[in-house]
Amino acid sequence: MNTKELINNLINAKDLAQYETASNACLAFFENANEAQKEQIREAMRKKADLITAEAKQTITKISKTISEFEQKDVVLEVNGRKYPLDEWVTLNDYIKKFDLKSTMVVNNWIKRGVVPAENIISVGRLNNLKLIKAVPYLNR
Amino acid sequence: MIAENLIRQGSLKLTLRNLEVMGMRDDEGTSAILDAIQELEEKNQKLHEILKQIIES
Repeated sequence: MNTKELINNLINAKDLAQYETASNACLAFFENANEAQKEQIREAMRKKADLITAEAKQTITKISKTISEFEQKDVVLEVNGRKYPLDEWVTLNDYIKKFDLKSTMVVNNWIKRGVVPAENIISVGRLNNLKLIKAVPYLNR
Repeated sequence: MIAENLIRQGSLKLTLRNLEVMGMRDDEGTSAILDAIQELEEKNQKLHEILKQIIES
């Protein structure tokens, strides 16, 4: 197998078993490679390390979101006798994360323009007027 | 999600070994990988706690 094939196998390894096999092949080749080939393998290893780290960070974000949703599932905020389950009512910051919006300014504009119905917004005086909105989509994007 | 977590940890550990064997364990890259492994491990423990709560409820 030549250097290019070894590197392709490493970069395109789809699962852990393939990655291990491709890694071992690269390391075995590396021992007797010339300096130019070694540099190619090093560069591929760096690139793969960046990819693996980025994938791990995506998984961490996904798991964090699931854990957070689970932890809020049974938490209920009671304001003026009305109950607001915190898996249905979220802060503007959590809303933009949940619906993948760029900034809270977008949601604030919707509130000003009446896109978000008044009954879907609460302001909690005891929490420094913290604004919560019902976590449903308001515009078809 | 627990399985995905373990696969990611395995890939990160394999990456660390590769870098080590090739003498490429620079501080910045290594610490990012070690941080990710630690964070995944913490999330994994939390997922197990949640799973336990679901099973017991």
